[in-house]
Amino acid sequence: MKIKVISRSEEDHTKEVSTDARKLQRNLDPLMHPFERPREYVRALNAVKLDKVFAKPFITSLHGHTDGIFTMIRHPTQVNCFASGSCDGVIKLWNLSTMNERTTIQSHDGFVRGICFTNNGRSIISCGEDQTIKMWNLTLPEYESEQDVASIFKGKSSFTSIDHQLNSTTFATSSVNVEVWDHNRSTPLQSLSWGHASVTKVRFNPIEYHLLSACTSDREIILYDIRESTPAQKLITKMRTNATAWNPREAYMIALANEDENCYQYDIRNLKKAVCVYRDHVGSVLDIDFSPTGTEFVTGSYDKTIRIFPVESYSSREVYFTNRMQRIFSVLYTADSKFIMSGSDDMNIRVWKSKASGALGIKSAREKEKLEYQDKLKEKFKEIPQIKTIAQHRRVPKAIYKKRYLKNVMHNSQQRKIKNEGKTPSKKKSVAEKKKLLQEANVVVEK
Amino acid sequence: MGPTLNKKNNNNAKTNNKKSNNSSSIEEKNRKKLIEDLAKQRKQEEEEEEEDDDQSYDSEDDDGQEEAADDNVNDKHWKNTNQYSNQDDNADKDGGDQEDEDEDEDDDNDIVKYLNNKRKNSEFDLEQQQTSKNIKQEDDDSENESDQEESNNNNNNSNNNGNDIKSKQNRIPTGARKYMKGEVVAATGIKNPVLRNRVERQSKYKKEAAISAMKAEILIQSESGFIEADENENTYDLKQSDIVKAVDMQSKVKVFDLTMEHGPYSIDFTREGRYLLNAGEKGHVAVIDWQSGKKLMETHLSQPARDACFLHNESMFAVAQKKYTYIYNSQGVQLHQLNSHPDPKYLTFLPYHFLLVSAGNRGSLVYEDISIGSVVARHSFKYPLSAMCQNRQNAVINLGYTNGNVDLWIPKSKEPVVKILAHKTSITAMTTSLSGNYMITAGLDRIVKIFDLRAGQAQYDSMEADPFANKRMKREAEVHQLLEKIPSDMISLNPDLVGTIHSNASTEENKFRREFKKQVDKNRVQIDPSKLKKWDEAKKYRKEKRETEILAPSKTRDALSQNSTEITGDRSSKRTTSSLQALCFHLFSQPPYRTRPHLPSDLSSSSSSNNNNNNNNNNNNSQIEKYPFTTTTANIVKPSVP
Repeated sequence: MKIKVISRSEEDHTKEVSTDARKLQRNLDPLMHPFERPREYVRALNAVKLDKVFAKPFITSLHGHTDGIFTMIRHPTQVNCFASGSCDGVIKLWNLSTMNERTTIQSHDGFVRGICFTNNGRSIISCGEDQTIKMWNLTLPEYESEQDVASIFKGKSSFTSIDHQLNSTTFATSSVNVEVWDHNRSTPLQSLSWGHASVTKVRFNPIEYHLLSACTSDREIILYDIRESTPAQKLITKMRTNATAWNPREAYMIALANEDENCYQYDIRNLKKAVCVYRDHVGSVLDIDFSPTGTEFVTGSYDKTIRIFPVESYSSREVYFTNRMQRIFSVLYTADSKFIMSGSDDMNIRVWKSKASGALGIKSAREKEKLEYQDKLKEKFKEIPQIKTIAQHRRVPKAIYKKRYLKNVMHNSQQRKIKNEGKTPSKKKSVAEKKKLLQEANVVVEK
Repeated sequence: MGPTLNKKNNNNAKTNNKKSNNSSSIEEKNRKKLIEDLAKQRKQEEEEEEEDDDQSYDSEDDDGQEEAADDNVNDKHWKNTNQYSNQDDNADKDGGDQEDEDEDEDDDNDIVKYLNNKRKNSEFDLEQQQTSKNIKQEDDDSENESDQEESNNNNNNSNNNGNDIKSKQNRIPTGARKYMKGEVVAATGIKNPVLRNRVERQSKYKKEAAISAMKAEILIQSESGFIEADENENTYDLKQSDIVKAVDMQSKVKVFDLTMEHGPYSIDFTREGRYLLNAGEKGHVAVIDWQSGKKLMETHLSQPARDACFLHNESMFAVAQKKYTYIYNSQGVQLHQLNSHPDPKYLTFLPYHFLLVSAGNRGSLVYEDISIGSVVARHSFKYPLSAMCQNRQNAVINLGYTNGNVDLWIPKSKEPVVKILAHKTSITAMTTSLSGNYMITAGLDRIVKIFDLRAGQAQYDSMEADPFANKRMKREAEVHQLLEKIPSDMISLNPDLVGTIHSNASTEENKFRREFKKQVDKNRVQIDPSKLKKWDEAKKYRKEKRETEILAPSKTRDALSQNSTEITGDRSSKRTTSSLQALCFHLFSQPPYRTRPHLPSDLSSSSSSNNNNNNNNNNNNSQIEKYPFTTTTANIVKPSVP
């Protein structure tokens, strides 16, 4: 006869000494964990509800500008630093960790149309409506009031935007043409143009340094390789593109903020068809910025809202607005992708969390683990109606809600029309109609 | 196909014996004796079946054991198992050159072997095999292949072709199967590449998770308890004093006696098994921390306590008294009088739903949510009540009546979801296994033993219920319990319903499809004339059949009624605990109408150690009443939130 019984001593299963970490006994046998799926579901539901409870995205507003903020740029090396330029020609540098302004520079007469940091981060270059480009020296690490003009570049017409190459002393401006400059030259190295329209925005690719995108006022997006004197290709859209942003992780992806209230993502290897259309805004989209992780981008719109779109999804993940926030002319991610800045007409820069319910500060390992677990659960049960409705619901101003509803109705009817037309092959389109369609659709031209 | 199949089985017999050799040989012998009779029967059946249909064979595990037991050369095998295992190692070394690609896999296999050996020691393994066998016959086929491969390795066979390697990559180790969450969906036939990739990835992750959970078993240090009888001993002869003599010192110290004077008691343990609640017929109620020997509470109520159960932890318990159910705290202070539970007889608590369930003499089954203090559901039944238990896996309440019926209840259905005629006499006791797959009922007709399979889980889980939890942990656990309370209307026969695909969901696509269907003009649909002919023939055949049945009734009805006639013939035969075996249905893993009710072999081995003779007549003296499953209740998919 042989008998063994389960015999546990309390000391073995808890702490032997008070300083010991407590032993965690696990048994992964599914029989020990009944109702796994229902419990997970309830947890997911709770997690989604908690997200709503803790969703307080607005952190603070930075005030100090005396006119609408037109442009913003983040520092290439310092996470807590960014610069903003306003419509009265003032540039301000901000410290995000203290939420204070560092420096004020009266730079231009009229609008500051664009600012950029140099590749080493020691100076800032601005361009304005007064047909000048100014480069200001800034001493590190705290930029105090030393604001000597290092150099002034004179242009022939008022500038509309500026962007700096990441690895060299070259920068590009847009006015009537796209002009490529160097720190040490007073005249542009190159002047690029295709067509007669003025250029509104230039943007360097952060990976392929020589690649440059330019938006023009006659609905074109032109891609340049600045090593060559001629442009590579251009895309003509139905309506004007206000801003572009390159995906910082995938060099060939470009996102467009369009006047037709939509955002588009294009693969530059095949510009004939947009990879994705994001149709959530109800006003023309004025600015767009990619998260440094490349998984999301933020857009600011004329409808006074900011939206965050995951790259892979068609609809926005978040919509931010406040009562007093006016038309948003520029949006910006911080380099750690945790915060979003929005510069609007009401002279304030607002700082938002990129994850509305995320906690600020350092999280413990346990906390992180728990949040990751909750995220996974939310992902797992996201299609269940109860969870979906809670997760997707966002309160928006009534006007925007109504407009969006109308927009959806119109979109759906259009889609239905296309579908129905496809069903009746007998109705052939007239040549004129075809031509019209062709005119409306995107056109890609290669040189 | 026939002979090769036999060969395969022989091979498996070897490997199985090799695996099980580490487990106690005595236990094995006992089991073998019991199985022998069964095996003969089943083998005969199988041979017949094999003749009929080549592919119909059971899981190789059982077959192997049975055949080995039959051949009586079994002893040789498991004595020489060391040799076998050595050979195996050598073979692995020899074959190492070929299998460089699968080196990791082989590591896995070593762990699998180790764990298999370990698992054989546990008393639950049979049950697990049983369930896995029943549920995943398909997988077993692949396992056959894998075992065959093992034997190939023994022969240092170099015929490993591409298919073998492929199956090797795809298979899930035996031990990992119980950790699989949901079934693996084959991505074949999905046209959308994104969706297909996602499905493939998910099934891959599922497998990986299961395998890593299996590997984590290696961390389990505690071993389960057991009783091994020698040759001429019977475990049912054991007395408490014998057990005390045989166990180790640490356990001996823990022995204590409770002298209970106040009539038959009902008891309940907390989920972690640390606290014991006694409620006597004469109103004596006590809560004991039996591990430390402390008495938490003792009181004498003025009314008899018919039943008592703990609520979510030891701080509160409910007592079924003469008129109402009452809730007391751990100091013995009466907290609530539940007027909505009149004349209660049995109480049970569903910990994950926070539902206190009482069944009373007045024929009402009441579900009360104790976290918010409101009655969730109230059902009524007709017959006098004689037993009640809950299924721990899906929170279904089983009620047994004096007329031998057993009903399965869920809160959201006014009618029982399943009705079973389990005994011809009154039901005296009933329980379900931890796996939720077996229910054991005991009738008034014979001696009854209740085998509570929950006992003896050596490795507890701190995250689920920790007997050594301190105050802070308990508090935290309570909060989490409450936060994660499952809504009562999610109780159904299948607990994993939420998150599965609902075919009738009101998605846009389905809506469109439905509308499209409506539009189709039935008058225009042209019926294939050949089909029409077939339908006519089928109709004719059915009509003829019906007529013949009316003319010559009761000869060839369905198998269930056949069984019942057998029983009437066999009435004189002894019905001891064999009735127990027979009454265990695969309530949830099986389709509702099995022609031949299945015998779970673990129960036969564990419960019938005392009646080897009766194994021959394990006829099923039970019948499932052909109750039409209320499909509306069983198929509700949409979970709803309160």
